[in-house]
Amino acid sequence: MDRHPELLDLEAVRTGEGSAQDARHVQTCADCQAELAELTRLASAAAAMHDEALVVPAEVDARILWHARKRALAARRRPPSWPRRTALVAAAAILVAAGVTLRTVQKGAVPANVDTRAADRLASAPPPPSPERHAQPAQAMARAQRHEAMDDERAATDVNGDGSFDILDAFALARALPAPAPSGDINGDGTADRRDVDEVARRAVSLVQG
Amino acid sequence: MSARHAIGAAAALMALLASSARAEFRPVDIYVDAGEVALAAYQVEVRAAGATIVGVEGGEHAAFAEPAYYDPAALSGGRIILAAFSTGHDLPGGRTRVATLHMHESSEARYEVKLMAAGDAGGRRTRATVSVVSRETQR
Repeated sequence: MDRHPELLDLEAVRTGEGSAQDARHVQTCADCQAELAELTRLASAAAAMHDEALVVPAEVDARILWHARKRALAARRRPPSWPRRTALVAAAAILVAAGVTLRTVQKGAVPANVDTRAADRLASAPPPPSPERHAQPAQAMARAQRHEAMDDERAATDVNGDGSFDILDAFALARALPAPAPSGDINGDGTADRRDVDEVARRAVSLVQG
Repeated sequence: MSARHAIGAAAALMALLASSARAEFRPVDIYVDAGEVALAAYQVEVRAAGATIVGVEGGEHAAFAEPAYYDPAALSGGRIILAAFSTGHDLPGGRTRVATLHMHESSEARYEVKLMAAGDAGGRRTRATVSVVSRETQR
């Protein structure tokens, strides 16, 4: 008797894609026939699992989303680690260095064959109203921190996790109530209730963010 | 009424007293049409030129009869974001007046409205159109 086919070859025989040699072997080998029968039974059971529709109730769906969002938010709210602070300081230092370098280049000696008239006109003109002036790294950092805080607030209120922040988030929270605290505790008063819904809605209609 | 609401209302009142004799009050209706979908939530932004927002009133259907959420700071300006939702089963379909803004028009006013969000009873985002209609002057 020739050798027994491998498991994958048997599966190929089951699906009709196996070689003629393996198929002939299975017809004459009781062991392989038993193994093939087991494969067929497993395949039928797997197919039956796919036939069963998996229905997730909307409330369960909303609560799962809640927990996911709160976990993501909690991860983001951890205090910045030292490497991150170091990176911020390094970024500020680079900005200051860039400003100093620019000033040095402007004040440096200019070769005689360079026409500086255009540069002189630019130098005598008032500086452009740029919000990101090199000489103000502290303000830029403060602005970045404010933006980060705003992002955190938006993440906290993106209840339905669709990436948008609007009244549908308040609606999702209202539908999920009574949500277990702290997952629905938006205003941080220790309970998840209608006041949290109002808080989400208030943020949604805020003219500052809108 | 919160302190912010009171301050906003007072500011709006002062703006009224200081306005010209040509000023008029005018209700402006906001309509949302979600087609065959029952409307459970909406959010719109209204911008007014030549007019000041002085009040917000609820809509025609019971689901949106209460005044919508809005930022009290809008009462002294010409821009407002309105939003409301209903968890009830009785929801309006088709075109429905969801809110009315009470405006103080100091000149020929123009209004723009933009739909920011609309949702069905399941909280799913849905397509809708929004429109603004000025009523007759109430002066």
